[in-house]
Amino acid sequence: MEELDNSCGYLSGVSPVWCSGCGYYGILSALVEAFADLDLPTKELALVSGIGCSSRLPYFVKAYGFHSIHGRGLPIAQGVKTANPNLTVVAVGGDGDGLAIGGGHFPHVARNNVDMTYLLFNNAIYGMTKGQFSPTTTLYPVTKTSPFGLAGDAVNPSALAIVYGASFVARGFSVKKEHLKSLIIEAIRHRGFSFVEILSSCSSFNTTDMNVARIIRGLTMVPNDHDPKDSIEALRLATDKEKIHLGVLVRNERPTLGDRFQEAQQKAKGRGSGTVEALLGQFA
Amino acid sequence: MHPDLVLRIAGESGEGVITIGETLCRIAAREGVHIVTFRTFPAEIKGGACMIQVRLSEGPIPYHGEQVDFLVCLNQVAVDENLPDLKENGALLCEAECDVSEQPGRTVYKVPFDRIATREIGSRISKNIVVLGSLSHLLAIPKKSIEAFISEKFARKGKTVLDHNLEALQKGVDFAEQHLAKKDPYKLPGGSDQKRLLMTGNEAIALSAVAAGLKYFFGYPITPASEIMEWLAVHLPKVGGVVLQTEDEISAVCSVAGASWAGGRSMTSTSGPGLSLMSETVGLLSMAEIPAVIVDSQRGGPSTGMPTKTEQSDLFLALYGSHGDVARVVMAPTSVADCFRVTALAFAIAEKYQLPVIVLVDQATSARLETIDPQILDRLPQASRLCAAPGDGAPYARYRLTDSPVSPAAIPGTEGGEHMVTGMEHDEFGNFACDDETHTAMTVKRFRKLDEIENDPLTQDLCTRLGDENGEIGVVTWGSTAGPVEEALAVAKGLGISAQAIIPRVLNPLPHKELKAFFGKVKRVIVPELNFLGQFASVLRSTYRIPTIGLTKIKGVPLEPREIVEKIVEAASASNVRSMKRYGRAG
Repeated sequence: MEELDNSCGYLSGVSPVWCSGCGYYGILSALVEAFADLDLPTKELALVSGIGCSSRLPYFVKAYGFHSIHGRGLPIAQGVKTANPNLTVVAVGGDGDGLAIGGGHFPHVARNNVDMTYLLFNNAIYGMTKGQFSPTTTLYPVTKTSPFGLAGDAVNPSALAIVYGASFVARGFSVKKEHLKSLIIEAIRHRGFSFVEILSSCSSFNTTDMNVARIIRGLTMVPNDHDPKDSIEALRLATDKEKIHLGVLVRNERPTLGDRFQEAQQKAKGRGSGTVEALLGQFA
Repeated sequence: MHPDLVLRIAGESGEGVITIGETLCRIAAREGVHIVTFRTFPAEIKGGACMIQVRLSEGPIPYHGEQVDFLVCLNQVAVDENLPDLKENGALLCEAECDVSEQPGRTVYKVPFDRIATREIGSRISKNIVVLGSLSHLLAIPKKSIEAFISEKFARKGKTVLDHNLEALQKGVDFAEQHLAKKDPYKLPGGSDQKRLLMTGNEAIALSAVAAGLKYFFGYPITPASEIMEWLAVHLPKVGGVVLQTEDEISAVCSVAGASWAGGRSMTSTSGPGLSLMSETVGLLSMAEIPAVIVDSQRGGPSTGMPTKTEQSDLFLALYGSHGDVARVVMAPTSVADCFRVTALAFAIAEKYQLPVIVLVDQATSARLETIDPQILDRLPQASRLCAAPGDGAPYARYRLTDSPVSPAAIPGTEGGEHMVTGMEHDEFGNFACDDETHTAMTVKRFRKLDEIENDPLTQDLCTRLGDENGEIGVVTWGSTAGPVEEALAVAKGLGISAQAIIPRVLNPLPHKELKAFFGKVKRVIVPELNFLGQFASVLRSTYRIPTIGLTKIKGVPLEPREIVEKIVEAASASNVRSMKRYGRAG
């Protein structure tokens, strides 16, 4: 357990359950500092998560928090934002939670362009269950459930977000806290579905895939002249085998799910009154 | 029983069979006639045999009727399949080409519908309107009412289409007037001044939900529940609500969980396969204490089962589905009108007690048209969520343990109400806690809600009581089987058998006081239901330690009153034999 600096005032006081040396401390720190920089009222902040090490994060933040069931953070967050659009909704979760068991929801919140932020903590392992492979495990093939090697190849979270049509896609690294914080701020400010893949080392069960020294050696920043509307180039950067590109890969504006609901409400009102008495009338 | 008419229209899907039935229903409902219908759906996407049975009556009726008084068949297959259900002295109106065996007492009318439609009108699809014309003559339905209805229905399609249809109607009338001499006694029953509303169970559920304040609906298409979402998709946005078709049922119920936690009245609807997928989230809703209404329109199961057929086989799933000890409420409406009351009650209970409520309806009720009393809105149950107003300095505890199992909920956005909700076992503040004391205290808290619900004024006197209150033969049923049971008791009474029935609308928590009193009075308990295992009977046996006589059916259609009557007769004679033996021994 590590001591956390709560000068920003956004920590709840509940101590994180994460292992010593876990990259998630850095992410938590970047996240609460981002909230402070954005000056978000805690009463209007909703943190939603599924199950896993990263999904424990809402307990540690002073906000409205919903720690739900494995893989279902995204549809719950979609419901929260739909019913209460004034809230800043942030979903957090891991690579297993979001890409394995919950992988079916990711494309749909992305294409619906729900006005929320999804932070995917990618440590390429199942940590909470103590060391089974995840959909992003690559360089550490022998895990407790893959003693003779992995059954399949890894998926690339940022690349998936791009092809799913997320209107904001970025990649950060838990160790580069200031950069990560700036990405989270941009993601929260973005109007629409914003996705940030956060590379983070698991100090207990997979120190290989997200090995800090290896990632620092391999990383580079997304070029300044990258046009975030160019999703093909964004995909090329996201899938680059030589370098790990950190930064904003995609940013574009399009109607959000909330916009479409409003449009539907306008159109529906043109089709008659919504009073219950009027609705009853159609059965006469 | 009131004077009534059991009418059935049968043909090929696509021939306009259902339109004929529905048109007659709309017209009769406006005249104040009471109506219950039943229709079958072919498993095929296009084509296949289909029928609609319409029972019309001057007074309330619980069931769509057994034997048919007046049968309309649009082709030979329809004649062959449906003639056995026609009463001995019934009447048949059919396509002229059909081959119908002679039978004394039966009246047969033949009209060349196909020829009139194709040759005289020049449009095959107007055949059903020609049928309506002939029917209006034979059943003494005022032609003006039909004309008015057709004019409304086709007004938007332009004058040419409308004129076409009015002409088809007239041709049907003309042929009947010229060629058919009325020989049977059947006619449209008289109505009253009180116009009645006509809707399906699915529509009643959707409308009731809107009346109960539904704002957020998430769902995934599934037969036979899709109609709820489709209706709401058109109308819920009118009241500022939203409908979203999600990627699966898990997403639907989870979106409901999120929207409800954020303060909006939320609902999903599905059928058995969807409820199976939602089971884990039912546990979450119970654990996190979040209100939600989940409608399950049951169909034949297990697995994909028989999607277009009715069954009451999801009771165990609704009562017990989801791991762990899950406090949830289960309700079952008995008719279309009852869908109105039960859905509104489901919202009231879900909000008041902050837990999931599952409404078990079935395909037969979901899809059937029935007339309801327009004043239905005046009597809807209402309740709202107990909301917290923190800010008095003390830290807010979402799951505070008090005398009441219901803790005030801070809706996200509330000043000072920041908290955690979670599927993990948790302390009063929502922080995870796995110690035995907390788990016990919180489990008891969640289940105490059920005790309070059982005694809540909202759930009192919700059992339908039928028959003779001193009857020794008892019938307990649930959901749509209530209708045939009501008819069966009337028949049994006619046979001199004294029987009574109790039909609870809340299946969890069961109305223990009423059921115990009932079991104390009767000597036999028959439990008719539409599943193989006798699921409700099993619940009653284990809860009340009473023997039951099961009556189950899995043919995809409702129980018929005579099937229940047979069981009542059997139980009554066994009961007599037993008491005679006892008498003999004593002597």
